[in-house]
Amino acid sequence: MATVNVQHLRKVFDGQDRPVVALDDVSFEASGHTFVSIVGPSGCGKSTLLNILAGIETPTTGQVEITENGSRARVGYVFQAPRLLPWRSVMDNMLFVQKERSAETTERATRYLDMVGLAEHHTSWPAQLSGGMQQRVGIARAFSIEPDALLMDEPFSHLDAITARGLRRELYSIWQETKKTVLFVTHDVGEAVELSNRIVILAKGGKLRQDVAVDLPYPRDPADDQVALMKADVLRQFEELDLIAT
Amino acid sequence: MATRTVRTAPRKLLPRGWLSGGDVSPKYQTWRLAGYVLFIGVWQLLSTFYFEPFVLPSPLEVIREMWDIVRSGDFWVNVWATIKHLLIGFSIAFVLGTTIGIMMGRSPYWDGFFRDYVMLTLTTPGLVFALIAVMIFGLSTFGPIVAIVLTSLPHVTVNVVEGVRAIPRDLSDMAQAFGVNRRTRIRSIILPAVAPFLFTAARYGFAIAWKITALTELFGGADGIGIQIRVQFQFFNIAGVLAWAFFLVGFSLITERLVLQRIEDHFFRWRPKAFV
Amino acid sequence: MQTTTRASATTPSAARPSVWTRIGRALTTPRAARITFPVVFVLLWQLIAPLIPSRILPMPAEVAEEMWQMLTDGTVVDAFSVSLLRLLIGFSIALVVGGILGLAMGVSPRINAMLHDFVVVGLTFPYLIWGLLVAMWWGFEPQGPVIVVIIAALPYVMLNVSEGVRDVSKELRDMAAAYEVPEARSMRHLVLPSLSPFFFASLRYGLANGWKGLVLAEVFAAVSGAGYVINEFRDYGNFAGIISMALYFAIFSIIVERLVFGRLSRWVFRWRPSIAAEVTEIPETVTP
Repeated sequence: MATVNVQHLRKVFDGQDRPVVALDDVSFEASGHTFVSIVGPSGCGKSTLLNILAGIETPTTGQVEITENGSRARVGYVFQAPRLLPWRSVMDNMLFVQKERSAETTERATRYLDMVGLAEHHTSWPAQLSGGMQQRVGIARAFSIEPDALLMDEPFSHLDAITARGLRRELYSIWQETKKTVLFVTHDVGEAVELSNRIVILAKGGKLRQDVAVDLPYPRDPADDQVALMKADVLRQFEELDLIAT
Repeated sequence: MATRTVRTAPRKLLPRGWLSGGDVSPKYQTWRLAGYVLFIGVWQLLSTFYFEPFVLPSPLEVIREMWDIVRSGDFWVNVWATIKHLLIGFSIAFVLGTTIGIMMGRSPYWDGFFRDYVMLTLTTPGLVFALIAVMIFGLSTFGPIVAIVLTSLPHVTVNVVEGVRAIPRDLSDMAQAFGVNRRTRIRSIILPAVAPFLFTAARYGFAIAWKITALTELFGGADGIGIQIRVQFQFFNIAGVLAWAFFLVGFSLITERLVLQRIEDHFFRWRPKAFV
Repeated sequence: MQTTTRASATTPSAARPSVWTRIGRALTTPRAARITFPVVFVLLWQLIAPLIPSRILPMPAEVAEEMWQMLTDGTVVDAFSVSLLRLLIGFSIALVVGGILGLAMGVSPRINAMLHDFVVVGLTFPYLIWGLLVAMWWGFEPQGPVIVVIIAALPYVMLNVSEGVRDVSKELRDMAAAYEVPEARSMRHLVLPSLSPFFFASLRYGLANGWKGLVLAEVFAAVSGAGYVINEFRDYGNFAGIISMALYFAIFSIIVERLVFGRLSRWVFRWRPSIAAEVTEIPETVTP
């Protein structure tokens, strides 16, 4: 069981003329089969948080760790853009991130490609796929390393509403099947309510402002009354926290 | 289909902003200076301890030679002759090249017609054109001019073709949808889109023209820098050849970086500069 | 039923245009235009040559005869094979040295600051001068022309390699870091392929400019090679010879462009299907 542990995390960037605070004393914990959405206005340090968790960036102060039964966990990352190697086939992209190459990893990569419905495209170049299909390869890639935890950075924001909706359903069913810990960054409150059982609200300046539990039965239909009410409730909290720019 | 756009080729082959320090961040100017010091130091050492002075003259000797050349009366006569060849030849090449470039950019037929010609003249050594021009025109002003036209033309054409193809379809469609008249469309959409490529065309065309002018003059001009280089070569004066070479490089960089670059920067002052 | 009869009544003229229309249509295709150009060129030449005073410009037939003779007596093959060997030796050295220096410039802004201006001057420095200098330094010794090739190609290789190194996508490198991809694999599958267009550009411009420099060096500092031969024709006032050599230069370019770069670029860029066909012939931007 994976545990995400963030303690007093602070990140400051060298700005053009003065330092920019991206994250300010952020602490939270998540573990097990949880889906945590991190929601906030643009520029609140959501992506920085994921990059630090993924080890791409280092915290200025504070501690961050993702563990699996006490040892360091393996983490999958789905980015906003698909970030596929354009000069490698879909299958080679899947294999690029595997720990070792073996018949077993190839089989696993095929299985996850199949799960997102792209098994027959394994020899295509990324440029031959649509944006939605590329993003699905990105999702399959993240799951195919059988990670203990999964980081997702607005993975559906570049896609059209219908494709995004289909992919949300796929994501939900894979999550149910694999029971991973997911940290999901989004600026779309509806999406957060539909998918997650916890919503963390970040404010501009990188302060953690609210931690909301979403106790609704899965699978959730965005048109469902309860889901809509919850969404309205979260948006009201945004209003109360004065996070909505006027 | 995928919406990702992939850059077709490294666009900026010629570094910009020399003399203004554009490509080197201000943080590293000391290192830049160190580069010069190292270069001149090594040159000086080689010429004092390793080679005979007439084989590799020291930097100071070359500078003295340059000073002597400037003071002698015919410096400006020769420079002016070369500049005259350059301006006439380049103007003809620019007008012709722009015309052909527009034709190629707009019509697949003319694209097919001139395609091989442009490719061939781009890759043919300037020496070939210089010799042909000298052969036909003998010792006259026409030789250098014709050689410049032949060599600069494809460089101008290629850039103009690219510019014509870069005209934003969405903007011209928008203008058409709003019923904007043709003249305004040309002035506000087509020209701004093509202009950067015209500047690139001018810079490349000019840079190539400097080299070919001197070359053609050397083989058969009536006057100009090339003749002076030949004289220094025949007297086996290495300092003299180097001196004229630095003049050539200096003129070429001044026209390209200072004159054309300044005009371009002024023209495009609406463009944000912070995309580094 | 009615529509079919009407359609069949109109088809003959629509589907089968007259022979002349078809010929006209075939002549206006871009493919035909490519063939039209050399035809027009030779025709114009045939018309203009007699008009030039004292028949300086030889007629196409004379040149064709000269070209045939040069081919059969081995002049052409000898000249170009000697030059090609010099070009390949010089360029290989330039590729190694320029690759290392370019890599250093791309990775370290300090080294970039030190070398940047020299690259610019190197791009601007006329090959003519290098040709004269190596002639004065080494006479007709074999290293002269090779050194000019190195000097001419070097700045193009350095520039493209350093730009390529800086251009490696940070997003993809971050992705590889997040997945803890081993360095060697990342090098092979991420860094090298993303460098390949720049490497290709340095190959193309480096070779083209090495060639231009070489030919000039052969005029002053060699007694063999394509540059030497064309200059010899000038010395003897053999105008048909000059034009013949010029055309052989063109043929040489076509062979290199079609057979080498055409195939190479199709292979290097096979992952971007729509563009691969386009980049083969006219380079996007050309540096003098």
